[in-house]
Amino acid sequence: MERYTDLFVSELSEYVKQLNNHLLRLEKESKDKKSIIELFRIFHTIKGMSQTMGYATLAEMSHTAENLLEHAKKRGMIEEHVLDALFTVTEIFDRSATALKSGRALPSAKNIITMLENLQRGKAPSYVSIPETKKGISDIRIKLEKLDTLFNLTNELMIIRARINKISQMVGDPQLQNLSDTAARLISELQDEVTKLRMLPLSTVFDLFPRWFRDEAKRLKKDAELTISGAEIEVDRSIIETLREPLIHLIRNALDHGIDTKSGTAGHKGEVKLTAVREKDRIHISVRDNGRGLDPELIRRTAVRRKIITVEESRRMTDENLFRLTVHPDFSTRKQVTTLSGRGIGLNIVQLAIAKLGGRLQISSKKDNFSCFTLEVPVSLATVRAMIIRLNGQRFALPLSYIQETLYVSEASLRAVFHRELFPLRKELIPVVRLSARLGCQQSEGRKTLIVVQYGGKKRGFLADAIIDEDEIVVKSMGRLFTNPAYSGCSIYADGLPILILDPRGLE
Amino acid sequence: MRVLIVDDAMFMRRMLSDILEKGGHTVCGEAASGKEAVERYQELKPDLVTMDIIMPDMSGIEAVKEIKKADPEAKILMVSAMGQQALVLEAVQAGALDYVVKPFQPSRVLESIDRVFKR
Repeated sequence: MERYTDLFVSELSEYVKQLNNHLLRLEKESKDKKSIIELFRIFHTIKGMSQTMGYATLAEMSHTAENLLEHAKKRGMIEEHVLDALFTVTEIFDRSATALKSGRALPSAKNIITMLENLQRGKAPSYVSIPETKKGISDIRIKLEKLDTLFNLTNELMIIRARINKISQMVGDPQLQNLSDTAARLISELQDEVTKLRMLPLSTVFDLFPRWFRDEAKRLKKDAELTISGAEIEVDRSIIETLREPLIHLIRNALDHGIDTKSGTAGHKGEVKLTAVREKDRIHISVRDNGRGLDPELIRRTAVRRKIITVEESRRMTDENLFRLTVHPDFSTRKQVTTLSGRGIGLNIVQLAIAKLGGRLQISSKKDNFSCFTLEVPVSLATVRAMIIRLNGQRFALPLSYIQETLYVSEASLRAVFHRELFPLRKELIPVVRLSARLGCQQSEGRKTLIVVQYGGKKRGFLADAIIDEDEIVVKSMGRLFTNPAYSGCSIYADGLPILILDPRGLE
Repeated sequence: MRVLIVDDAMFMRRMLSDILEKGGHTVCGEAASGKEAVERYQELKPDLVTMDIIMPDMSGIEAVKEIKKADPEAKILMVSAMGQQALVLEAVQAGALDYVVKPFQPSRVLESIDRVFKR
């Protein structure tokens, strides 16, 4: 029987998802006959599987659930307390799957079974609560570790590929160059395929939210709805895993702090919108609520009181910077600390995740209107095609996706207007950014190269000495200690030495 | 014997498949719904079909009727979970030759198959 456990667990997990979907549908429309029939069929199937494996408790719960649904089928509708009971049963199935997977004992379900039996006999149940446990999407198939190994190996291969190419160019042997080119192409393809294997749609994380949101809203006694869009966008596996916790905390915060309790609102339904949008090689995921909004005054006072900033500093800060203070671990405007999200620990998880991924957090809000937290992360942690530029002997990488065009310029062609320098490009005047000044390099003499970049609707001209190469480089994160906004990551270049990857937005 | 296994749960299909192969039979195909069962039966013309009762897209009983319509000689063995007696009887009336109840023991499954062929 043991060799069937894996299959049983993966089938059960899949069914749990389907059960939750149907249950949520029935919650909105209690007469949805199709869902009732499907639920019946799924519980029936789980019963068969559980009996075969010898899991008597699971079989018993399924059997009782089946009976409740048989009854609902006849009546053509399902009652709210029966629905609640079925949600609970589904939760137990989910935990059982997790327990089985890690070789632990099945969770106890005696009181659930008693409740179900009472329901069958027509007695109204008291709400059976289950203690909170930590869920994860670590329930992915075992191949993942092998996939990670594969991914790391191909990354190393990419770096070596570049170096071999450089050296073969120096040696100048045509046969060697040929082989090197072929190898480069094959390795690139390999990298593409492995990267694709690692891509998952955001729905992998998002799918778990509706059910969790419903439970949380109930627990916090808030009347609110969660809408999700952009779940089909695909992102690297490791990024998805890192996003899960921060998103949960942001959504919980929106529910807890943003949305008012039923008594507080005036016929205005709480809405939390989770939206994902792709812009070039970045994804913007925002959590927006239509609740009370962040109050700059309140934040100012609290931050000063908690000695996070001084009174003078607080007067000089812009609203957005004040909002960012809510991320500080010592910050919490809640007088009564609610579990987890009130302790300020929640949002710090967000900052850490962002730093790990080389992403950004943007916050906007209007008092009594809305709050919006946007996480911006890269699509893939793998490779980026970049131009290698030289600045006074040092070289940097600038991702190709930002670059519109490049041209040679002389100092004379730049125009100074007040404190800005501009360059006339056809009909436009483009603000110039002297990279050497920004990055702390010495200015060099002679002809320069202007790289016209575009990002977030802005156009800028980056001034560099020269462009020395264009290459596909493997991106490595720099860890959370190094958070200079000018750089989005680093890599090893073809010469075997480290190279920093520029982030245009951090160079303003 | 060449057998077509029909059940909406992959788990059950796998179990049954193992039992049958160990018993010396060949699993020539699988189906996960009544509709698929009818289609695959036409394609494969197996010696025997094991049929689950409750499935999406056409129940096992409907599938038995359809298959028997096209091939009156079809040999079908119902596989059902406990508590579905009424449906099992219906299936037998529709033309199934025998039934096995889940959770099943390998010996009982193989016995049933032998019985079906002895008739």
